[in-house]
Amino acid sequence: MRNWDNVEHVEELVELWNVERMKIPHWAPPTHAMQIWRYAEQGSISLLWISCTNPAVSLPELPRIREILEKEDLFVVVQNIFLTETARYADVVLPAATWGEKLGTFTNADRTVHLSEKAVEPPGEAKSDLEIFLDYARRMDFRDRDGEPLIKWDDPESCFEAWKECSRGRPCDYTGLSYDKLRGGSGVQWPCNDEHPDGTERLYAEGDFNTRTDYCETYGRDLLTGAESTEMEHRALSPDGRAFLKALDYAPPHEEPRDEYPFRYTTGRTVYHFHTRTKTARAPQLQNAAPDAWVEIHPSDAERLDVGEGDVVRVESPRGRLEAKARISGIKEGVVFVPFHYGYFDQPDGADGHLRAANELTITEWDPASKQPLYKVGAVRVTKIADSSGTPAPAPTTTASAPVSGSFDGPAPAPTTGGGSAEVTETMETQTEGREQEEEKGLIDRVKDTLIGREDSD
Amino acid sequence: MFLANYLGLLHQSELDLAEGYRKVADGHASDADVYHVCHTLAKQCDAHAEKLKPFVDRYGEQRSEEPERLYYELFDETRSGSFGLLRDLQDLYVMANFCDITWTMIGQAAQGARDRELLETVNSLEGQTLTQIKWLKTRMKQAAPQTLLVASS
Repeated sequence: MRNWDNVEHVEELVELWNVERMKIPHWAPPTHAMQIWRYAEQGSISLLWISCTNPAVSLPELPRIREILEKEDLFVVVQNIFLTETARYADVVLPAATWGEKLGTFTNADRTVHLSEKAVEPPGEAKSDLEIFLDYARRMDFRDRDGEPLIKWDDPESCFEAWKECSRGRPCDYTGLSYDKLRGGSGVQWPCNDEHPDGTERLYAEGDFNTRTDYCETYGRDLLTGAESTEMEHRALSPDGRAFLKALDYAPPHEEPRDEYPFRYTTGRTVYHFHTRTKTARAPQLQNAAPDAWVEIHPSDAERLDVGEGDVVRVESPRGRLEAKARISGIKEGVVFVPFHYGYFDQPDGADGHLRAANELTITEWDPASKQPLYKVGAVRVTKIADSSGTPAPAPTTTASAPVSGSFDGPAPAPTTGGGSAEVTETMETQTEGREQEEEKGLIDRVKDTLIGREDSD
Repeated sequence: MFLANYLGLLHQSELDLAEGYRKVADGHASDADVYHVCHTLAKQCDAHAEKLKPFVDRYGEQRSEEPERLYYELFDETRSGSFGLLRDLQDLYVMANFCDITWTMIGQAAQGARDRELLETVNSLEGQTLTQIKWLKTRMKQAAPQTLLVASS
């Protein structure tokens, strides 16, 4: 939220945290994930602390990621709520508490902040991420420039209050929020401050953007190369609250379909799963809707390859391969799609067995401006390796993975539904005193039912 | 007139810079962003050389050996490792700045000669060379602390 290249912004952090300016790294933007992994690969990073994410399934070119995780000189700490594919490579596992087991706020992509209450104790030795980081800070004895403890808060609410102060006056201003306000019956969209005490539904409604040189979060970068603009260049443009509309000449992807790899490869999501399924695979309604990986292919391409619905195909790129059942769908001709959610934690052989992760095949390349890996483009070949044995692909029949009618010799894929256990009624009222305890007990029981066997499953 | 010399100098410099980008890209292919951006910029330099050709023909190119000497001095072998990357990017920075100042000289001559077409070409293409320089600087600044303070190879 602050501009690393703006000396005044860094000075604000100096005051907020009471540290020496040179202690705050601001010689460049924060090192992005793919560059961190490159340093780990080269050996100049020797400790990797991976929290709340699963790179062994979600990063591109998984064979390379596994190689890096296996390096003798790389100490790997993994902090997560279950033993994920990445956690299996850890030298130290820090078990973390999940939703319902900890108090704290969530903020979603439309800027709405919600408060999530703690309903049950985490199992075993699991702790909230906050407790883990606070414990670490205490043991490391981090101090501010006056020799006092660097971290002056010790629980979710005091941490939230400190975060509010960090955000004061910046575009994502939380200063008008509080746990009390968030318990008022609804989430609130930042910025929420004196000017917008109930939050802000729309940004830039007056056509005024956060581009004033002294205020902006970045001086901008070139879309083709990621080259950073300087303060002087930005100031010379006098943006004064006007928006920048950046454009770029079209350039084709670097890996285009060719003889050996004639299909365009793209990866993405299904609505039933989130990321690498650490939670969603353990929600039976969601896992039943989309239990396993699949490959979407156009009917003409399928016919040319002698592939029918449910036949097993091998998809290969220069990096790796996977095998999954084919779903004949409405995808564009010449393109195949694989969902990226499916790793190996719930397979008996792990990653040594049947490969199904979409990122086995993706390329180590990233967009120069955003640093986002290029998950959506690549070139692959597709070969049939086995017949369907009478079952269609496990792909949902809803959304983009819907089967093309008449494409299956056997019975049509059963329509994907969540069933009764997936249905929910919600009423939202603010608490009144008489009902509070009763509702709280009911809530805790319902939450306990949902958190199935945390102690039992890995 | 000596404009022919400078056009020759610029034409050859762009081609040599393109070769430099390709050499650094291939020599540091494991740094994926360097690999892809350098190949992109190599194509950009080739396009610059291509756009200069009509003017080279018009004014008569006087080929100069100077940039070639610079090229071979800088890019005989790419170096390896993270320190090698930093030094290779620095050599590209030198070469790109050589191109940039040569573009400026061409622009000055274009104004003096009232050659509108040449001036338009200078204006549109010099901006790309400046962005190349910006990228090289950005990428070097990003790499420097880790490379100079931590890396051992």
